[in-house]
Amino acid sequence: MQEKEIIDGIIAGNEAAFRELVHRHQSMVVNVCHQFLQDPEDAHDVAQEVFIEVFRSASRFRHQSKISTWLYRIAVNRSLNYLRKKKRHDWIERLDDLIAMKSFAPLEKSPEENREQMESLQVLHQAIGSLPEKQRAAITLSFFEELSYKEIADILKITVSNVGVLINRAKKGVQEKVLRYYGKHYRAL
Amino acid sequence: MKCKQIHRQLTGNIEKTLDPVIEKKVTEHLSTCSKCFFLYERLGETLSMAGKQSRLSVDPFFYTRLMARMENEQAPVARKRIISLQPVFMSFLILLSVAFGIALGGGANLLNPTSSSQIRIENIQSYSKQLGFNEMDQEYLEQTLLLNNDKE
Repeated sequence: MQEKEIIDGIIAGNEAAFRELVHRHQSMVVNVCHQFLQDPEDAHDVAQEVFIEVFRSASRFRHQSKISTWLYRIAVNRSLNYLRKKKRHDWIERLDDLIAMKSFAPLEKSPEENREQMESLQVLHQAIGSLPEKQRAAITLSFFEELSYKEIADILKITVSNVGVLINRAKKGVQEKVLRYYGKHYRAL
Repeated sequence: MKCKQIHRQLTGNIEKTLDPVIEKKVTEHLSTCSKCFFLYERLGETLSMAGKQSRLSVDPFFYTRLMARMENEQAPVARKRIISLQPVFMSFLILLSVAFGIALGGGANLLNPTSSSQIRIENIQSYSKQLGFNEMDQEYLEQTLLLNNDKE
């Protein structure tokens, strides 16, 4: 089924078209939400909201971008809204859950190396989580979804050069926080 | 270059995006400063984690749960309508039951009240005659008995 057929089908109330859309993009949507929310249950919850919004607003889709770009945009906005509403600044606690749920696939290394990797991942998420929203969105899409600046620009509805600016600032912010964390760590050693 | 200046260039050095001259200075500094080298390694390890995080597997019942949620979100609208119409419906039921009660308890008389009340009075009078409940008859009997007593 072509993208246009899917959207037209959804507008016409064809459930098979909607099911096709969900099956094609559910993994991407759930994972984008998960990158922002760092909680599998919340990620599934918000991903459902994304698809409900798609179902309700399919008639407003103008086919000027790919469906995936549209879905990314809704997923990012919904995730940020969710965080705003819940005022979740307890990222560190959530990361403990994340590690407990084995969302991170440990490499075949010694327990000490695994512990270091877990710590690094925790520090990275903590650093990204403390960034301003736009920077967080841009760097998450770049780091974790490995999207190009052009794709990120389409999703966030900003220019490519603005994406570059946001990502550079985000990287500086992340670098600063990571160095501050390990700077204290170094003194403790 | 001082340590602080080096720190600003560490991400660039990891990503190999630095100017070759600056990159050389950073590399030289890292080979002599243990703290900066430690931070450089930790930063590199941390940034590399972005690509190593595994993808979250989607709930196999994701679509089923999504459809159930969509149905549930539509249901409250209908439920709200029912709730808002409930007082009207209850009032109607009360009125209906009152009307039914009236009809059952002789409501038919309402259609012709005069004739029905006359019939009812006649019925009562005939019953009372049969059972000896007529007050006038009783009085007459009592008086007769009293008169008989007086004669005796």
